[in-house]
Amino acid sequence: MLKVHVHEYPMFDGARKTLIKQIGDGSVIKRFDMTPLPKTAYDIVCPHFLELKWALGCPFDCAWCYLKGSLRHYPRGKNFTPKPFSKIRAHLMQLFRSLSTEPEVLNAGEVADALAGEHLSPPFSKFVIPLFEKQDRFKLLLLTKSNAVNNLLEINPHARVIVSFSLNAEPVAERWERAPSVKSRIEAAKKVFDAGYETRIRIDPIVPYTQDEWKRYYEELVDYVFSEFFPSRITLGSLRGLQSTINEAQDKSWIDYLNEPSKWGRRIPFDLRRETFAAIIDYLQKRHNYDSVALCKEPVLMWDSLGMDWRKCACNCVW
Amino acid sequence: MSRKENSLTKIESLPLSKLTVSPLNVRKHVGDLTDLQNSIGSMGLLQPIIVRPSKVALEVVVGQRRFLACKALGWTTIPAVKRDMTDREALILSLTENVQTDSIDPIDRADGAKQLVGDLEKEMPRTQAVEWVAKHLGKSSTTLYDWLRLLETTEGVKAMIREKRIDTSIGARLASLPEKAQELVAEIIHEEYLPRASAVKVIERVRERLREEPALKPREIVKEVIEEAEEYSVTVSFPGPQYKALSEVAQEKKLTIQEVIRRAVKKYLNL
Repeated sequence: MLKVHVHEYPMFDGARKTLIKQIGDGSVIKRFDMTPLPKTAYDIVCPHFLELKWALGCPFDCAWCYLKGSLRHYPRGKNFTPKPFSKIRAHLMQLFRSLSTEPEVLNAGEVADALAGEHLSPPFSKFVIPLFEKQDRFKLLLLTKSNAVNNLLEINPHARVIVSFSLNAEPVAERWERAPSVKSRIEAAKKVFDAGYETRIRIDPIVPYTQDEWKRYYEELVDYVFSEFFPSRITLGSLRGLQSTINEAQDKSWIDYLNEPSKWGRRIPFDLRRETFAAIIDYLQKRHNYDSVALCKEPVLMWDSLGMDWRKCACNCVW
Repeated sequence: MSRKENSLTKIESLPLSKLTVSPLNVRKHVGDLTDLQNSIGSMGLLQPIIVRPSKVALEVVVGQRRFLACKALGWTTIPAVKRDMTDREALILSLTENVQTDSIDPIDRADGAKQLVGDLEKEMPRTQAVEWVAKHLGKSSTTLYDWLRLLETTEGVKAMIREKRIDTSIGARLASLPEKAQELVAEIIHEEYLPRASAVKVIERVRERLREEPALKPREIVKEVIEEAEEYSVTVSFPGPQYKALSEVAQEKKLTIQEVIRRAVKKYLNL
């Protein structure tokens, strides 16, 4: 059997829990636990979620993609490289057999786009979703910039699946994201939403692109989303760049926005960042009466400044 | 050139209506011929089949799938090499060809190997016969014995092997279990997607437990065995003085620190 590695983790609510750290060598299922429990106002809030590393890489080519840095030492770099499905199956089955009682989400979109394998035979979704449907403790998070959802629409049941679309303001996406258009991603999100999947979105990275217009761009994005479907959760992230990402980026024009160091890479200055978050959160509340919002990889100080309780963080990657 | 060399190299165009599949052809399951038909249809037949004359017809010894594909395409003749051969030679040729292309159903392959070994046993001890066949097929004796063991599994397990739901080395080990346990253990190995090493351990343990308690239900044993085989690694932090004390005890007892902790836990849990 594959060894199940467990570790005691401090939780945001002050409790301590014994959770799975990794299965076997951690090459497929491993907990992202690189951000310690926040103790100071400058510490990053990020709950320790499980990664399902079913593949490495992504077929898209966003200018700021952290995979350029994270995968720079791998033989195929950022090129999409799936792992053997037999290995993924073995690791998942070990996880499902384990004695961990904590219900958890496995994020399949952390080191690869979760829908990058839909052209494979079998498609990744058709391989993995039935495995999740055989148990009731773990959910699968398909985080994606793709619009390739046709396979998802053919799979039933899918109660153990969350689909999360990474979106951005159209001018920002056109300028820096080499991925399907935002419009087509939202259309895809609507399809999966209508098919009964829990559907989340990330608006990340938020870029105050063009000084006077950025607010309108993000409001338009929000309006468009809500005109098509109702996301169960929205996670906001600001433009940031780990040094390895910055080093490996070809188009470095986005780096001009990053004037502030932090405990998680270089970022947009705090006040401007806060302004962008506040504008979107405010718009969501007032225009759409919506408040299921969380922040991604922001310090405690940011959460406090926005009147949000980081201890109740219910962001994209958790249950 | 000798007559035998002539018969090897002379390719004839033989009428399909005069051909039949040899009973000595080890391939009993031909699988889906669509891809092969399409390939032959577009590229032609690149390699002639091998047939031997018999009393009734010309028997297809090598190339059954190509023969059937050409028939399905409506061909009237097929390129073939005609060769006189004994039953044993036909069996060896059919088995060798299919093993080399690795395209044969594993149970058919095992059946073919068994037939050949059985034929050779008329002249030599079984171990020698197995070695002879293994050598001629370019395989180890261990592999041959594994193939032969597959034939001792139930029809249900054979079907799982054919469908590639379990691999042949696991199939061979399942043969060591009583019939009532074979399919159940095979299904559980498949459902739980146990890696090969784990599956082998489970089979061995089930065999041991059934010997100890033949009345036990296989499903209960397998569940117990899988649970026993599960391993958990727990990270625990110790303050310095405690770690120092652990370390001293470990040194004194000539154990690792981990073993000291394991024994302490076992005692604490009364296990």
